[in-house]
Amino acid sequence: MRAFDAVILENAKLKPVILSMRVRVPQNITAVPGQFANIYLDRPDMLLPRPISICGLEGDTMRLIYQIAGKGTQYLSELERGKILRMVAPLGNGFNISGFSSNLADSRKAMLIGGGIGAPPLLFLAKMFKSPLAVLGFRSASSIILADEFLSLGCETVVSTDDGSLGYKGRVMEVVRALAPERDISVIYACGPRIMLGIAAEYARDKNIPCQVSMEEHMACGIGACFCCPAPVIENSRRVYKKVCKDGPVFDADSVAWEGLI
Amino acid sequence: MNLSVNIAGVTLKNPVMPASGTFGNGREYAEFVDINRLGAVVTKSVSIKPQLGNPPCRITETASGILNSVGLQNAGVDAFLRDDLPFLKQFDTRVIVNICGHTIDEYAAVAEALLGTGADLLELNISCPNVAEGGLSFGVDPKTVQRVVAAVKKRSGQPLIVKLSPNVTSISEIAAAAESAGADAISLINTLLGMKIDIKRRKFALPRKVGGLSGPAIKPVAVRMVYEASRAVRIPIIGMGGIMTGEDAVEMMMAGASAVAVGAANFRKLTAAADVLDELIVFMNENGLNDITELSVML
Repeated sequence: MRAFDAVILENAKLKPVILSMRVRVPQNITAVPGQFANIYLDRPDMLLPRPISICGLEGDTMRLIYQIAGKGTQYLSELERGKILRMVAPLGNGFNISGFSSNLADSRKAMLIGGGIGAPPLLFLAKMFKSPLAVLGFRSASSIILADEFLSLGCETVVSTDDGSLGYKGRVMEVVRALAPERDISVIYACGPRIMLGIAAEYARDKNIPCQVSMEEHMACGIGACFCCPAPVIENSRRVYKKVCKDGPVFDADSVAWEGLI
Repeated sequence: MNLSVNIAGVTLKNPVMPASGTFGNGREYAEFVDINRLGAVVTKSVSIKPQLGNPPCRITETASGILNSVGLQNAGVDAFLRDDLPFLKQFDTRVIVNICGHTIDEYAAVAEALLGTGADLLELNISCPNVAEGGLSFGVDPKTVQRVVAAVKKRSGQPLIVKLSPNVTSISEIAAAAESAGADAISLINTLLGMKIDIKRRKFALPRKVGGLSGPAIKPVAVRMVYEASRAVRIPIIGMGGIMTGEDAVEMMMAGASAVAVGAANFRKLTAAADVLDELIVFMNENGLNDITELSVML
């Protein structure tokens, strides 16, 4: 984790409210899928940095995909190529892939479950696996992002929409339940709405498949100092609050205290 | 140039410190800020037993401010003494341990547990708006302030700073009560009680409905209260509330503060506390000041 200035190379709309930003970062910045970057707005009226999951890092180019969710991301969406952004990255604890990836003798698949704006960090993660299964759910055809990129990475890509306007009709976890019995899944990684994560966790527990979920919470410092982003976790059979920004955002699904969360 | 200030008999090499709760116990920020540069580090509130804290959401942004509802989550004084104090003592800075409790006895017990440790000063948090028992309820009535301050003074070893709430009718009265009960210094302001409603979801932004407002939005309130308190007491004042720049620190010191704490600004920029110090030095140079204490008589 380092503080640095990044230059915007591209800040393009994928959808009316979803943008793909590419920034030039220092050469020696590294990141693990699931980690995030804090973007500092340097405005007097909006004090908090905006945490954005890292969608990719190739050489000195970091890709961040974000949704316009409020005034801060609205401001970010209006920034143009060449603008310098103050950033801190990489932050947090990413997906654990050791023991799950690149084992060519293992014919089983990793399953990546993405809901809406949860898809971008999974695209970064998909690069670590040989033809994983990506199940991506969106509200409707008009809100689908990155499906083509998962395909071109060699993922077996399944898309669902809540309204059935493209792909399977229904919630992404309904699609998972319908599809997965035909597959031999070795590990599940999920990023998306809290309710989707909870159902994925329950599913994985039933099937006895290891599962990691990327949690989201409002944050302040982003480095684990302020305790503003609690994730309820069971530790030594006690419910405690861990920090989403530092202990997470990725947690073992089994460790999360889902009761009351969803 | 002399930047050092004296707070209750303890010399701080400069008047700039982080505000409690915004800086953890230094470990995370140490990756970005040279802790040795700060006049002091003020820890996150430490209670006698581990405290779970409030359920999410704990933080939300408002215009030029933030509203928090952390609820004093901490691992308790034993863990603090084992894990955090030794870390902070590595640095050439003063350690101010902020203490909290649900009862007067709990406050006193934390103070006692810190007896003879490396804590240079204690800061008594009787002004946290985010817990159901204790916290703010101790800080709004002069008689209760006197009782808790006197009880802690009796069992503490280090000089005691009492951190005051702005959620009172007369800050002068509360400040005087703290002084009369033996406070060695006061710090103010803690956060202002605030509320935010998400009109799209038709829900309170924070599940406890209210939270503590900080950031530049509250600075004029802080400056006014520091000024009023400085007229009411003789003990030193640590001023805080929305300090973002060196010039803000100058303003707070002109109002009557001997030292300043930087809070919400740490979130906007991880190096904010050290930056405020740098800017304070620039101001002194530009204004031909040789001693930081000259600021207090400039108004």
